Amino acid sequence: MTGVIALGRLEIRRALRNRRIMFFTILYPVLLFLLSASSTKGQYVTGTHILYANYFLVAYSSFGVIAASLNNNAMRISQERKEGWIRQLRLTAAPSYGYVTSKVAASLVVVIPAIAVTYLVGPSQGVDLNVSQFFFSGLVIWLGSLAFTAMGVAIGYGVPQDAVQPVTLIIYVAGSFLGGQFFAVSGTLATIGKCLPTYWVREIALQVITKTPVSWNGVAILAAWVVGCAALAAFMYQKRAED
Amino acid sequence: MSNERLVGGPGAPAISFERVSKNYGQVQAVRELSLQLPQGRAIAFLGPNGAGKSTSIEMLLGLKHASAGTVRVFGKTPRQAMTSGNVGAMLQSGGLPADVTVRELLTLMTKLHPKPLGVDEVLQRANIADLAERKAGKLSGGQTQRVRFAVAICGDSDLIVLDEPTTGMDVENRQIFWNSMKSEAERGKTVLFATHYLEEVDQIADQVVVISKGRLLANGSVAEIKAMAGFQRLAFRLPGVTREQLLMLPNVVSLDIVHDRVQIQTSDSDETFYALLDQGHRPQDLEIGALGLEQAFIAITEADNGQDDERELEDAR
Repeated sequence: MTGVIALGRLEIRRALRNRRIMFFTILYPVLLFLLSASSTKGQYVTGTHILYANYFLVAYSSFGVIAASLNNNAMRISQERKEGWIRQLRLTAAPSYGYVTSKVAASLVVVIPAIAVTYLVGPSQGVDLNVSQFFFSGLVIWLGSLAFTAMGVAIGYGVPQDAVQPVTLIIYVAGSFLGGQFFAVSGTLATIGKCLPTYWVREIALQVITKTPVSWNGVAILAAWVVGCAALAAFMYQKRAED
Repeated sequence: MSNERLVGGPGAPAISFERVSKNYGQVQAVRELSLQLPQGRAIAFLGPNGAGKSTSIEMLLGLKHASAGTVRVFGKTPRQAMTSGNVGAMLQSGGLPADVTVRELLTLMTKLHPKPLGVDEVLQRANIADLAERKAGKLSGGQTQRVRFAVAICGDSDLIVLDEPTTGMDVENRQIFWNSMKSEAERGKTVLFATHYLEEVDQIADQVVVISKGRLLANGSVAEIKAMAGFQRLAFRLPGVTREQLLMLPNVVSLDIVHDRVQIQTSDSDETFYALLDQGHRPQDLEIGALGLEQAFIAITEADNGQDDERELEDAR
């Protein structure tokens, strides 16, 4: 167990000092949030009573979380698989699940700044939430990150190394587009979006903020993504065990 | 019946292969390999490229499963031996994360073993104290190999497996590295190393295992391997001698003349030498001895290739 903890701690340190990861998880989402929120100041999302500032707060912090969990894990796992680091770890007394466990645990820590920094600059753009609204919407996004972490692990193990970057980017951008991370989706976009974890992470966090009842079918879809991707990741991991 | 070997007592072989085969589809990388290697020795693992060395090593490290047969390490399955900290290893492809310092890496690695050495002790034993604060991605090939060696020894394991450890090292680095390897063996560790540098073997190995085409060809001390080739070397200076005169000598296997310097490989050095004297020659600067390990290795593997050709001919008939 100490071994898995040591692995996780090193994972966190590596991620936090990686400038590219920090750019995509913190700086980029925060900049987009500032741009979007400042250009819609005092306005409400069409047909609702939701302040645009609040909407974008949730949307862009979840956008940063997706980058931190999906992109980061997919690319690093595939690279470390190619370099032989995973093999080297199998030549230790660490249990075979140690590597993946440490990745998931580290992910849960690395996504926190993505949420926290956006939430910190939120009030400057007219976000009007109380402490419990901040906390519980953040909690939803934090737990929702597990779906993207599991997806990242599955891609890292399952997709051929040279295809990982394009595959991840397509999922990251298309998922965020359809999930309403960039603007409030409606019509056909929303119909597709409602099958995706990107949509439900944002939507459920928003429901928590607006005190509307949480849609349990959304929670179910999100949970299905977590379980499905975790199962896929486990399958891919087994399949690659002798690589 | 004693089951001492099953529980991995002091008498258990460090490594045992019993009729082990490994197939990749149609290709048989290892064929019914049986082998027992004792504890506490430095053992060289030799064979031409594609002989099945890496596959055998991967099986004894538990990275690959044998298609047939049993592999045991200190009487345990390879994976059990690994998780109980009996084995440390360095692979050719064991990538190190580029963004981590050597000290961070070794700190992690020591925590992944049940009874590790201290990080400073590892740095010193592997001769890399000066590299401790460097990022793993910024090291030269030879430095990387030394760090990999440090990773292999940091668990203070009983068996240390090194796959071509000195590849990419310059001569000086290689000497330093050999000293580190020797001291591990002197501490009573079993060191198994695969290599292409036969000088390395001659200097370090107590025992040599030669495999080719997935089969065991030879297993013995360096001297035994040299003797196995069955030839001796005869070298002398003899001005004015011709190739034809020397080829008439008995038992000559091969002949090499550079200016007045003659080198003969012979299957019976005494007879060849007496015949040379009988011809009336008086050679100078005479040396008679065993073949070098390299020549012996080539002779053994080539003899095996010859047998294979015969086998194939028989099959054709």
